[in-house]
Amino acid sequence: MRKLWFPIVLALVLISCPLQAMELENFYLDSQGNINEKIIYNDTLTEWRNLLEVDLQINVDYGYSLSFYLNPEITFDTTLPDNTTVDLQLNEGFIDLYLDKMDLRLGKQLVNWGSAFKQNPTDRINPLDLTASDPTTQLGVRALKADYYLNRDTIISGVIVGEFIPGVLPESLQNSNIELLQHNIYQQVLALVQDQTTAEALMQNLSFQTTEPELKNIEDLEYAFKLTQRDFSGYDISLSFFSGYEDYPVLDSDLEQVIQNIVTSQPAAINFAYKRTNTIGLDMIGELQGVGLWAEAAFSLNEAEQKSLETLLGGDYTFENNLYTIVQYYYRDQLDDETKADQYVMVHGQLPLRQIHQLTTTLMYDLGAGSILLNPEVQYSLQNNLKLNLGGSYIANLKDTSSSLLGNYGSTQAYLGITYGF
Amino acid sequence: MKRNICLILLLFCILVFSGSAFALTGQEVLEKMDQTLQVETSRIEMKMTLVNEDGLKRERTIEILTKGNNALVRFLHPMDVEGTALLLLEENDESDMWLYLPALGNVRKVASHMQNGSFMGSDFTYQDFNMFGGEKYQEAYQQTELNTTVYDETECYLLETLPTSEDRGYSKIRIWVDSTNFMALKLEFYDLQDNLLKVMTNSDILDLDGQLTPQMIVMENVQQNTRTILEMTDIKYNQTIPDQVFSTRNLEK
Repeated sequence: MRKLWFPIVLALVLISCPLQAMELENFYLDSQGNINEKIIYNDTLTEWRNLLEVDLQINVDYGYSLSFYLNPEITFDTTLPDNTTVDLQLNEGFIDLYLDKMDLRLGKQLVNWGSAFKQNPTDRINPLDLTASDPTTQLGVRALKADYYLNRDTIISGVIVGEFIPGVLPESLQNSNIELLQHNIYQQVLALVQDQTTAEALMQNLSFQTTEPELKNIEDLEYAFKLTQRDFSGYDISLSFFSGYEDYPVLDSDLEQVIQNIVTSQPAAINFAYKRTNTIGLDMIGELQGVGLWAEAAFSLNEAEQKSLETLLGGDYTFENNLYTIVQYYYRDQLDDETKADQYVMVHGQLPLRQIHQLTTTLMYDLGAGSILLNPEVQYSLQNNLKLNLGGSYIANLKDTSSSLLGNYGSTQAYLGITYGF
Repeated sequence: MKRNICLILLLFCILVFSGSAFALTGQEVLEKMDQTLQVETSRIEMKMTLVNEDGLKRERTIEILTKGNNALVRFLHPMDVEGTALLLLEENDESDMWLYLPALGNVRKVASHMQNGSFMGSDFTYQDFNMFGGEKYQEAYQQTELNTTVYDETECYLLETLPTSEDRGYSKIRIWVDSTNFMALKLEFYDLQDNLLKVMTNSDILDLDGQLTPQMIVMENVQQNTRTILEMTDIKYNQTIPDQVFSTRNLEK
């Protein structure tokens, strides 16, 4: 396999280069791409990874009414020189049809709803891949999207998703959640049987499973609607509704019954399921006194009658030296739960350095757990189309609290990459 | 007596020749500049080269489409900026700017704090790009002084103007205008402290389908010693461009 990746990459580049821009009557083909060689050191897993990513974008326009778009990405994990793994993903691949008052998009796609930076409570259609180097990376879903323009500034959007794609959690986080649950059950079993050896033996009856929703009928599909009014007193305002499944599975078993089964030596399974949920969202963006402002709020009610509220307030400003800054406050409350609400403040800055390089830094502070996440990155332009990226993320639990919302946003790591655009 | 006649003749000559030079008012020069640039539609592909203070160059490809008072600026290459688009709309004497950033995947009105900032790392601000859109010289600038001068061996009008909008970010703009074809050859932009900030030059001016077109535009920031060079690579005038191209709807396409 080691010998294979180089010819594959070379072939892709050679195929796409002659096609980079071809224009015939009413027909326009454009292809571009990036090759990114990246070395990552993950401090939590104490491991090095060596990745080669090839990201391609192929766009075909036919006049002003039809276009095709493909965004495949191939990742070669060359960490172990004798065991290179190849992962081919189609991030997006869709057909666009532009009608008189309606735009239709069919295929695997990302639907970006919400105005906030990186995190959007009202954007429920695409799940997140928390294992990606950027944990705000969304996964494409096969869907049909329609945008109907009532007039220039009023748009009704509708999306029907034809498949269920769960969010991706880091394995370490999944394992720690299961271990925590297993430990709690063990303590209760031990309390009942009063013997450590017996409790350990009985725990062998315990198994875990995750059930994904079956999309048998049309009502099982995920769908969403949005009404957008642009430039309403200077603000863009959207009202949205989503009916679908939660991105991550939650406990779907009666723990008392499970413990009862364990102590009576019967098979005991703990089931995790993706709950059906409905979400109403409100989103607005505009400016006040020269400062960009946005707000998002989403209220969700799932099939187990559990309510949650997510809100986000943010603003941005560009200083005279072209330093672009964002400040965001996020709040999430499981309304039926007695646990504290999650809250964080984020400050993001982007500063051009000597016009062609860039320094980017994001600092997040979890107000509940007291943890911080720092994401600095320098993009150093070596030549036209050639960039060096040096960055990382640092997580610190200032109050030594194990539970932190920021744990979802990656682990302490450093990376060095070189990107060539073609 | 003879001396007096000479003085009268000299005065007469000065009046006659200066009279011909100032046959136009500053506002009329601005109007004629607008007429020179007037075009039904245009579709121009250009190479944008950023030159930093160390002389390092980075290239991008952009496309500018105009129709009437509206313009669409779209980045075509490289991939990290591809799809980034700026829409300049002018309707009922009000101008709006909308920005689409593919990384965020949504369209946003350009907030006022961004409008005088650098557009995609260049020496042009978002507001400067109005020059390629529907901005009319006679509406954007108020002439305060008019002189004649020679620039680059060309007889020119030299206009000193004030931006009509307070949000433009410049205290004044001096414009060298070719007195034969009314093409702006050079513009000096002064910062709010009245210091020279940027110099823009139009060069290699060609007549394409009866339309005067600079093949090269250079915007130099004299305070930071950086430059942005725009070189036209493909120019098409008066082709059919549907109105809906100039809409927020089209930005995301």
